[in-house]
Amino acid sequence: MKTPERSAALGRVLAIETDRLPKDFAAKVAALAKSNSAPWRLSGNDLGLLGAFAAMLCLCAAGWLTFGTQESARAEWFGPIVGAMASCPWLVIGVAGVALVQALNFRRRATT
Amino acid sequence: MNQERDEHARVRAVLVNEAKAFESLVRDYQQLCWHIVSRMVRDPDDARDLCQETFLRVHRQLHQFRFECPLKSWIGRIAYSIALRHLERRRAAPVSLLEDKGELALESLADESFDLEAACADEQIAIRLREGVDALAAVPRTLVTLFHLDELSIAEIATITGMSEGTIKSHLFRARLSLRDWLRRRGVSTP
Repeated sequence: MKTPERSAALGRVLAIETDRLPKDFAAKVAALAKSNSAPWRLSGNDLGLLGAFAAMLCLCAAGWLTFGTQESARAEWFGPIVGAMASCPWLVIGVAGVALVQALNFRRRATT
Repeated sequence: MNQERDEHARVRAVLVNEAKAFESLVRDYQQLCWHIVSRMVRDPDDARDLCQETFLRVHRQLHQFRFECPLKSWIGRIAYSIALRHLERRRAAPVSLLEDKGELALESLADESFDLEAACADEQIAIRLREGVDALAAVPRTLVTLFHLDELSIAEIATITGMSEGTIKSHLFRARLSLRDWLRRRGVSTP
């Protein structure tokens, strides 16, 4: 099968475009690619978030130790959950860790 | 040979994170990428997002580029596959269901009675013709653009799309026929 004839006139017709890429497309994409490939470092903000998360956990633990024992008799539904959590602390720590990493990741994406 | 050496240098510059190297690469190939993606995917916002996705993937996978084809074709192939996958997700048909008239018949029909150059000379016909191109299915529209606008060779288009050269030629002849029919249906007589 022979090659079709190329048409410069059709090329000109095709070159008429109403939409195109923005002028700063290349710069934006290059910046995005750079930020995506940059190794992740723990910044001051990340440390702050980590500290806030740890403080929140401590607050919950302190609250539980102070009031939890008095309330636990009334809140019977709460007992099995706490029992389950206490029986597998590594699972709790793992879930908390994943949540923390996701939160940090979300924050990093939101700022880039 | 020179071009190949330039491409080696260019790819190396991007891989060692030389300032502005990737930006310059994007600038040089963004038009080809836009032509491929915007013809495959009609929506301009989707097309812009997919162009961005294309170049981010180029950046991620550039270390895998083995110089087995020109960099332009490699980037074009990534753009084409991203756009095709987008269409598949949207369940849009990338190829029109034209009846198969046989390659030889197509070739002779297309050549004997449709003078594109003459048709495009008239501004009104050119506008109609542009509408006709837009009415083509995604793949033929893209092939017509790559061949007539970007002036790629059939071999380059084959590398980008993964189609055989015969299939591409067949699509181009069919597209030409479709454009002729499109104009005739709208009362435009072509020389």
